[in-house]
Amino acid sequence: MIENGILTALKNDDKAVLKSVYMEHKSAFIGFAKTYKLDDEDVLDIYQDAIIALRENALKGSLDNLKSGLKTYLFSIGKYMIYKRLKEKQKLHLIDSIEDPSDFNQLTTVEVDYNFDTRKRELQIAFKSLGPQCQTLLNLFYLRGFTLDEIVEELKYNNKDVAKSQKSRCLKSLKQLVNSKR
Amino acid sequence: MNKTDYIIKYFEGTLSEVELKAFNTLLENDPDFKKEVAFEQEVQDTLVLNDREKVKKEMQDWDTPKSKPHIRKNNFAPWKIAASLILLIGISWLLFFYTQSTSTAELYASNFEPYRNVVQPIVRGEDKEDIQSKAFKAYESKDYKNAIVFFDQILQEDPSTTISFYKANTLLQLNKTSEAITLLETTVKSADTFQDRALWYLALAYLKEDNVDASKKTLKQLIAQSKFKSKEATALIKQLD
Repeated sequence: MIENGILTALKNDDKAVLKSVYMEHKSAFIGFAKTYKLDDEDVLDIYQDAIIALRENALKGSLDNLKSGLKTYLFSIGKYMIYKRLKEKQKLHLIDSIEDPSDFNQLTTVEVDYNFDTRKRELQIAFKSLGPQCQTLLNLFYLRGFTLDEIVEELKYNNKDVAKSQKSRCLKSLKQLVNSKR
Repeated sequence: MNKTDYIIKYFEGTLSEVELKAFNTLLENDPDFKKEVAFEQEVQDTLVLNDREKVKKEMQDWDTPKSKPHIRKNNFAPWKIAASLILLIGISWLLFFYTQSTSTAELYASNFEPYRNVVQPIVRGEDKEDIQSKAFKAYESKDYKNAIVFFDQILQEDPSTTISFYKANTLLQLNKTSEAITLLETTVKSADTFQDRALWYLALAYLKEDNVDASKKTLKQLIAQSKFKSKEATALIKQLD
């Protein structure tokens, strides 16, 4: 089980806590990854992706009933990602056959990629040109999984209808911005 | 409940079983509804990617701590002056011996520029998803780590000198110089349209590894063979002499 305070902080998008988690386990992870034939750059890259997966799963609420502790969870994800990376490189470096770690099955599967297609890149650019209020609202709703009721509370709207019309207004601007570019 | 509410509850994950059925019926029968759900799904995917990119950058910042501010003190003890002198002599000595290697690094940096994509034109707004498009899209947007993965996939199926050439360029960008050299050394052996270009980049890669002799030899080969970069190659040989 992940310590409650840390989990709550991760859910609240507390970057200071994320940083302390990142710093706390970094050298241990790098040491752990040493046994695999990966260069340092790859190992650090994987560690960062594992932290991102941890963060995203915490935000989604997938870690609420987790049996293992944070470090065990983080290292399981990391190990899975190491195997995946090794598999990708296998064609190049002829590494002995690799099997997935079996202890990963109970955990949430996590793939972290950064593959924007053209459309999503355009959406991203359009999103960044929205006003800060819209950006906050859309991030809360789509990324952090807030319900409209929770958004009313967080952003101090008068009622749910205000939040609802604000959200559809933001979506409309986003749609206009991205379509004007075509 | 109106259509907007269905979509909101869908993304909240608060649809009841009955509502979910109604949602799916709408999805099947109402094209506008389907389009709206698809749009919001794209928005969600984009925001997740956007967030990843942001957090990844932040983490990279955490790894490079900012240098601490300098504290100035005005009490110069004689031993400090002596120490500074020794340091100064040491640095000059080091500089004297390392000028050679920094200058090859500089020459490399001033000459190297990743070869432009002439294979797969990327058209804005077009959403081609085959591997080659993905590879060159990544290459053009300087996302070299992904480019390598895609180039490898292509080479697996169809080993071509052109793709090898771009892979080598990508490796150079990632500072994997010796891997790039190995690849280019095979690429230059086959006589095709990219041979001269491969020679130029091989010469630069040797330069980066401080292998001046091999670099000069390769440049001469290039000049003898082709007009590509011949002016630059001639100038570079002169600088290396």
